[in-house]
Amino acid sequence: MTRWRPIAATIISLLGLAVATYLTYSHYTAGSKGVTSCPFGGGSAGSTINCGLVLTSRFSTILGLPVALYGAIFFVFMVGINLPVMWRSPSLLVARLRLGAAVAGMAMVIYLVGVELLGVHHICIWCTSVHIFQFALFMLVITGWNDTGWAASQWSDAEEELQLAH
Amino acid sequence: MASSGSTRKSGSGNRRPPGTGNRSAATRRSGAPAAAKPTGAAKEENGSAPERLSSEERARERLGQQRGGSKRPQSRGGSRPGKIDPRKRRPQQRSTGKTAGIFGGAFVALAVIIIILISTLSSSGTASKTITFQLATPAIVSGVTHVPASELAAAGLGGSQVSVAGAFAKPPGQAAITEDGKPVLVYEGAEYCPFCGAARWPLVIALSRFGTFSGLGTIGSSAYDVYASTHTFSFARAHYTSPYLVFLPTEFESNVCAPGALVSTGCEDYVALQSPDKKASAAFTKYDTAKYFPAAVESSGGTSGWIPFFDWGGKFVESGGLYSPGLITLGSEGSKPWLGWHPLTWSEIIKTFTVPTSGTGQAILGAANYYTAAICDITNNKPASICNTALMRQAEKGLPS
Repeated sequence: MTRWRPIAATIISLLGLAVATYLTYSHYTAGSKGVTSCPFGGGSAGSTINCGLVLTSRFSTILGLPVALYGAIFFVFMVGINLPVMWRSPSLLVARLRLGAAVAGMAMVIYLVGVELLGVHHICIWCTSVHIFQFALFMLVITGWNDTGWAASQWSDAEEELQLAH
Repeated sequence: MASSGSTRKSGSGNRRPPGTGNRSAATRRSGAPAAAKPTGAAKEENGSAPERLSSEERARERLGQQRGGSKRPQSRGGSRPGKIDPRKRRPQQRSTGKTAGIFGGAFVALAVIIIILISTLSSSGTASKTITFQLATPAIVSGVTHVPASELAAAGLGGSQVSVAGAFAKPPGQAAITEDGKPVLVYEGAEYCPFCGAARWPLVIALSRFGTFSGLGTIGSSAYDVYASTHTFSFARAHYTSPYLVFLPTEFESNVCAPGALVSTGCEDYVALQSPDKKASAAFTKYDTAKYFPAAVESSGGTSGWIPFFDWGGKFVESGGLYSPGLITLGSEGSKPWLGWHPLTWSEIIKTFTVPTSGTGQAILGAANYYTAAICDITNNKPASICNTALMRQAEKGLPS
């Protein structure tokens, strides 16, 4: 089992959680004068990058709650399930939950990027950073099945059989 | 016999030689006791009768089964004993392939669903249509101009959703603006502007307590700007009469995109609508600056001239609104939430006034109370029936003195 993968997944989950939390906070504290602006000067007139437009668009909430809040909750879960101790867990359920969450998160990213491009016609840099974090997480998890504690326990069984065979 | 892989596999927990009874720590962590290795696999794989188990081993097996047994995939042995290398049939290989298949299939299915959703989005006209001026229906006019005093009182000052901090300023030496001996309330905004749209709701409510509107129109803010298509009113063709004050509104631009100004990223310019009165223009130029509204100017990218702008009879000025347009725009979703919300309709917004202690209703009515107090300030608390209340005195404390 590699040690870097759980650590990298945890760090990326924390980064995703940080941005999603910021966007949730921004949603609820949006003032009467301004909206959340993109970093690095994005959002100038005529630019495809416009965080305010995306974050106040009709796609910015689902069932009355900001999408960012769902993202924050998702990343709280991802932080928990990507902790090294959870990667070491021999539970098949934990491994499947992690994989399922990564796939579901990636599916949500596809939906949100589609909405940005086809529905709002603008890109939000903050949102894009979260999408990149999720993509990295997805790749780490999807290629890391053999690094799970469950897989390790299976290897142990096989090794034991091998020893017995000899 | 001992070389049969399948037998070894199936009986690994039972035929453990003395001294090899302890399984690896990793295996123990899995919660699958050694005795749980199903012996039935032996029958299945080589067709031979199961070996006889000692009573202790059988007990271990039963214990393992009682604890839930192992659901781990068992490797299938070949039909020819002695020909199979256990390395070639490690269980996780099959398991990984199966799991990857399941999740891969699920991912593909999700991707297909998402593509269908996005196609639906793009074909259902997500580029909202501009809601142009229409004379407000009598029901809407009545709903916004005759808000019961009890609901206004219940809303208080709007709670945490309404903030006057940074919105009002009292420039030193501000010249009083009057007309026909009455104080003038200057409003400068634009139909496309969602913040103006949010501000008009409490403004209409407050002004209606001191006079009468006619010609109020319903519009949506720009379909291409933030808080797209916020449902609101337009003062472009409105007339207001009051024995206490003069209302001087200007809608600089409409919500219709100017010819050639609609680009892929939105609308770059809107059709011009009204030119401001000289007095109003002078106040706007002089006071709507970073000097008096540093936060608003900063958030708008370092430019001055943030709208909406108000000059309250020369007593104080206001730039921006008192609450977020999101409170009246976000939140009404149909049966397909993934297709986004729909802006609250005028009727839906008016209906929120009946719940004045929370949400949209409280924000609008709370802001209306601040505006009422501001008007009371410039009319010298006339009429007393409106201005001499504890709530108005409380609201006036929040305004610059």
